[in-house]
Amino acid sequence: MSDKTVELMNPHLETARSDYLYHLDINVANTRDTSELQNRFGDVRVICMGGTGSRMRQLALYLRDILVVSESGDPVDLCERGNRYAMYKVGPVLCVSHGVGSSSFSVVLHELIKLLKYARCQDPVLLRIGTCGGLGVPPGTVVASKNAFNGLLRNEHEIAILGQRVVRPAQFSEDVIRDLLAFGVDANDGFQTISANTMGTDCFYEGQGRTDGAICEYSEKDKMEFLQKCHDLGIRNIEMEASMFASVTQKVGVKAGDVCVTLIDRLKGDQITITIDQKHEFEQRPFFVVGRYIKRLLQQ
Amino acid sequence: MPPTITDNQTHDFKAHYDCAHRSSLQDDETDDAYVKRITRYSDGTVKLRNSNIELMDQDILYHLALGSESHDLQEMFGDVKFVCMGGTPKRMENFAHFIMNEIGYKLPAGTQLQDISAYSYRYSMYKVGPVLCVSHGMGTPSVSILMHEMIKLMYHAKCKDPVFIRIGTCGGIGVDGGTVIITEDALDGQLRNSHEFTILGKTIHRPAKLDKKLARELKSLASPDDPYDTIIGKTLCTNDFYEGQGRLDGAFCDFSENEKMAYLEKLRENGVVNIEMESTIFAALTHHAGIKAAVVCVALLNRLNGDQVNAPKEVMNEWQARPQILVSRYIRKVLTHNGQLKALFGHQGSIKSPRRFKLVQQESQAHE
Repeated sequence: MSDKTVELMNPHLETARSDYLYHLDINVANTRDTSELQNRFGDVRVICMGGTGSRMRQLALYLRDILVVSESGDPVDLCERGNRYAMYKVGPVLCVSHGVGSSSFSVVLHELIKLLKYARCQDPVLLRIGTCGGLGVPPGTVVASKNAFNGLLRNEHEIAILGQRVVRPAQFSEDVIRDLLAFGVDANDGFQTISANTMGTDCFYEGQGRTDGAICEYSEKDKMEFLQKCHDLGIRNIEMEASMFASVTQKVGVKAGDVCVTLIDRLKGDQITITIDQKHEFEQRPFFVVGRYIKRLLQQ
Repeated sequence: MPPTITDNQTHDFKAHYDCAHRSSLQDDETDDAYVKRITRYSDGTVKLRNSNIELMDQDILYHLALGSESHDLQEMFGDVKFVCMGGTPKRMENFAHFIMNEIGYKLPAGTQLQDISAYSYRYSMYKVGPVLCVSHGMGTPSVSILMHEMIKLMYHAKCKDPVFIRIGTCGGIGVDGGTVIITEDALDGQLRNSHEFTILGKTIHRPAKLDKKLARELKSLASPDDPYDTIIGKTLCTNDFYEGQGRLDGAFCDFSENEKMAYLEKLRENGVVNIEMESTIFAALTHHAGIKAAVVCVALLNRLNGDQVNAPKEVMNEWQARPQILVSRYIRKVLTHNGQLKALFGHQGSIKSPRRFKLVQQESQAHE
């Protein structure tokens, strides 16, 4: 097997003797001999990430079944001592929570990518699984993100580095999207899975044109004009992590995909009207799609 | 390969800010008086800068697992005077227990502190009499959601003149680990005293103003006997922990150690004493909502000496308690001044603990 481990563009990591993945509470005592981490994580092929620890635990239980990983009892949170993120391991899959929004996600993403390097994981794929607002698609639709737009409707992610504004492209891996649709979809699903553009915003309320926040200084008409403009760009869902996630994984050169289920059609309102049972059922849908994709990936 | 850098955009938020509300400002009305008028009802309860809310049949606070029709929010939260927020659920649960002890609050017999928002799986919330303790996760987007819902909660519960305080950790600049820092001004990644919002595809800057009087009052409660410094200074708030804060230990890094040090020195020269990831949004939203607010953090390291936190866990746990101690002094002071500490002992007919007895004594002395 050819070496498909992750290369990092950080010369400082080459000279550092040790490293500490602070928010995961994982210590790399000796960066030149990472055999312990390789033993623990070297078999990881996929890292699935989602907002809450509880959902990542549910995903871990689900994957345990479909990947026929013979473990019993409650999944163990490997990062519990870090108090920030939860991490569960199911054979070759890690399930990790990332909190809400790009800032929280970027912290754990840097640390997970470093973990992939230290553990010498082969040809990894990073997948985000979540919920989102839909745009012109029915609630319960699963969207595999293609191009990630920011709140300014640009297909990019912006960050301040040493006081300077830096802009990076934000596209997800074409082969991951293709394979998610080819292998993740079943004709009997009872729901639609599509590939489309996604908007990632830093604010859930004003940033997404909601009228039910603590502050709202635009009209319903302004909001609808904005949402229509998004729709015209091929955006079919809105969430809060896609543009950062796409830009970081693209910069590192790691394969990534973002698979979210819509809970609402924002062209029809701001507050969710589905029942709690429907919500639970919808939240499972990305599990099905991602589960089939992973199963197929592991067979290759 | 250098990072892709585009020309700096100049954001003159003052012009935008002036234009936004000049037409509504009455003659001779100061900015502060204007904000007060549009964010408070005459009885001091919170008025929202959103006329849509009162027209809604019901308002669901999704990320708190509360709703205006599913819960009696006024009954549950109407007495809240202080909202204390910090990153992790664990730390805010610890703070809730700590403040319960400090203000002598006694839970009804047979009950224990419960996470009111457990079913949201996003944030945790504990109520200790007039103090609400809530986690906000990491970073401005996470805080933003919580803030919108907390401010709406204050409105629905008809809370009067609540005070919001963020308690957290930070990287210090030229200050030792363990130093307690009260934020004077919150600055963004480009050193502007504002938070950049993207609303309907447009960039808007709102001032990130914290209550200066409250900051000075908190500072005055630091004791010469504290075995650590408590200072007031400027706080940098970034959207990114690694590159955004000039760390060398991220998954990728396109700048040198010299460039990083030059940046940190520039921050220092601008009066920045710490870096974290929440203060500008916290300041901008509380200010916009007319809510008095403060940020109190403890430094976990001095960034001029390196990027990684090296203190042992026990030391860090002790450091993290320091902002809680300062904030509890403030809360006790306000409750004492309002004569409310006595009421919190209402269920007890006799002395049950020396600590609480001492609090009663202190309160009595304050009224001599």
